[in-house]
Amino acid sequence: MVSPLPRLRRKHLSPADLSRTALLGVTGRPQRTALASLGIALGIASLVALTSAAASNQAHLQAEFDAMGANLAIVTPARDPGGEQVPLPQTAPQAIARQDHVERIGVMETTPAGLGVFRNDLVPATATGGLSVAVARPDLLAALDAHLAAGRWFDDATRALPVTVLGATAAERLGITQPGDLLYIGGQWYGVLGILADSGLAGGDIDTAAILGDQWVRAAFAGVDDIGEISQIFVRAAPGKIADLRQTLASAARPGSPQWANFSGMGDLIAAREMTDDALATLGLALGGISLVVGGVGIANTMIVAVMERRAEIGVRRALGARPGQVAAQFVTEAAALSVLGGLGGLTLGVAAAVTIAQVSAQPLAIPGLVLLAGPAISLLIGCLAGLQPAVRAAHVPPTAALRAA
Amino acid sequence: MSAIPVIAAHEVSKAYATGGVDMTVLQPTSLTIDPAEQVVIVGPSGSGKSTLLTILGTLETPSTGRVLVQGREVTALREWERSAVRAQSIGFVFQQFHLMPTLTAVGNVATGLLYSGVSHSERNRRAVAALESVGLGHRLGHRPKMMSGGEQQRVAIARALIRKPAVLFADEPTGALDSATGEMVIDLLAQVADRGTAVVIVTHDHAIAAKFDRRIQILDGHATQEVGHHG
Ligand SMILES: Nc1ncnc2c1ncn2[C@@H]1O[C@H](COP(=O)(O)OP(=O)(O)O)[C@@H](O)[C@H]1O
Ligand SMILES: [Mg+2]
Repeated sequence: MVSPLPRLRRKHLSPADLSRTALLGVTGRPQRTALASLGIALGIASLVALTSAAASNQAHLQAEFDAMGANLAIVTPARDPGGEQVPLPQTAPQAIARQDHVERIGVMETTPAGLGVFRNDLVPATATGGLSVAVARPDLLAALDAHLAAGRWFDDATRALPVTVLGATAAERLGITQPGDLLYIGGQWYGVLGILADSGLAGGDIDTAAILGDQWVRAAFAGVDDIGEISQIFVRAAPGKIADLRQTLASAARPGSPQWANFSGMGDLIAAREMTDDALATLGLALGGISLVVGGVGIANTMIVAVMERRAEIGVRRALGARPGQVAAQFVTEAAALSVLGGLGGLTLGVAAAVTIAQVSAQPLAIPGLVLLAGPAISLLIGCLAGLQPAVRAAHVPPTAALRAA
Repeated sequence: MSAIPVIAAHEVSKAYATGGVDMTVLQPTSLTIDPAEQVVIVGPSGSGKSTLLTILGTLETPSTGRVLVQGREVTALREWERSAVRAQSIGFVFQQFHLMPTLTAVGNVATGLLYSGVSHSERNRRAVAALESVGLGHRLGHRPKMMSGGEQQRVAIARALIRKPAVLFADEPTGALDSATGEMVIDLLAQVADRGTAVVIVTHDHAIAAKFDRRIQILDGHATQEVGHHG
């Protein structure tokens, strides 16, 4: 009579048992653990410190660039194949203002043709002095981040009056330093309401313009071609978002036929900032990456030594019934634990360094949130990779090592 | 006896290829070990005792021949299955104890069930019982360093016994102990057999061997079996 043998079953280690077992090697020899995880700690620390320094630098640069117009775009009507301008719908400003990442907008309207700007009615009409006339809605000032040097900007009352706000250059050429003076524009006297400070790059033509209120122009030039049409929508976007907004803004301005809206940004500035951003981030990644590779090799090395030193332990575990895979899992987990420990230490170190760097260089502290998550994740990944080869070696240690190893 | 032998070896041999030459360190040997039997393997150093023990204990595969554990041919099994057989049926005790230095006595003994699918709390509970059964109820929280060699070897025996194996193999279990302590360990192993676990002890010490009725003598890889009387 042959009694059937009971089936053999694969018993699995619970995750808790696996980590308990792996942590024995980590906590059992604190000095080795500290040395082994040092490389990863330095790698993560430099990754965090450098990307944070880069981010601080970027935040600093970004503020400067944005002041110059790097986050400013202008939406204008396009011309049809016959050269005729296709007006933007009057709903375009609100539609654009509703888009994500759009912070504020300002609208300019079509200027009546042939208007000269003069100090008085005696200067010949041909000598316009390189000055221009612009028509603005009250929201323009904020969209341009422009500031007043003197006087006031248009409000709901003054936008309908024969008053003008002068760009900085225009005021200088006309010799006007105070509001209240009179100017002769297109055969009509205007009171000077305010004078703008030099706008820097962002304003562009605004510095040489005499700006009129939109409602006044609509009333005074009623019936003239194109009066009241939108000529430019200035769009101030969240930092770094301008390039992504190109398609969105055109579609919002002209739903269904975005080709009839032109989009222009401060292209060079945007490109310059993207290059700077990339260079700094690349530096951070390269330096951190090198340290991490060195750290990973350090852990791999430590674990290979550990496998050689612990052949007897491995043999005992095999004799107790551990499968080769379970031995391998133990060593991979141990390597991962060493690495994550280093990663957490490095994170602390890196944040401390970032804070110090920001303080010393008087830049805003900016630690990318992604790095805080990526640090431990990367060290976990490196630990697993570093532990792979030692684990394979450990799995190949024969059970007889318990007898033959000292 | 109608019971299935715990271990049955048929014509097992072992050869190593050293320097291109096959060195046979164990000549073909057949033997069976019955439940609760006490067997000693005795012979001079280098004669092949450990080789025979590792083959009978499934730690090593023989170059030729077959080994059956409780009727199951382990030499035909896959590695994971052999691991399962060890976890289920076989205990080992080594000359150097091989305890984990950072674990307490309880932790070390509980490791004996780590690969058998028993929960952490159940392992610890049974470890306490196993330590008490080898007379170490007062050393539960001690680490190996704080224990004498004899105590460490008893912890190792408890680790082997915790899963109630069918057979316990001990390779020179007294080799690292003084003779009085060694004698105590041998007595303990004999008690183990009295409780139903077969015990196979390897030793080069004829005084120890003389205590056992069933002896397997090895000389230069040749095993000869004898049934003697207490000396
Ligand atoms: N892995 C191996 N490779 C080559 N020779 C080995 C190996 N293991 C054991 N031997 C040899 O086999 C012989 C028997 O060894 P062993 O069984 O350990 O003897 P004992 O336990 O009786 O001292 C010795 O000559 C030893 O050198
Ligand atoms: Mg030996």
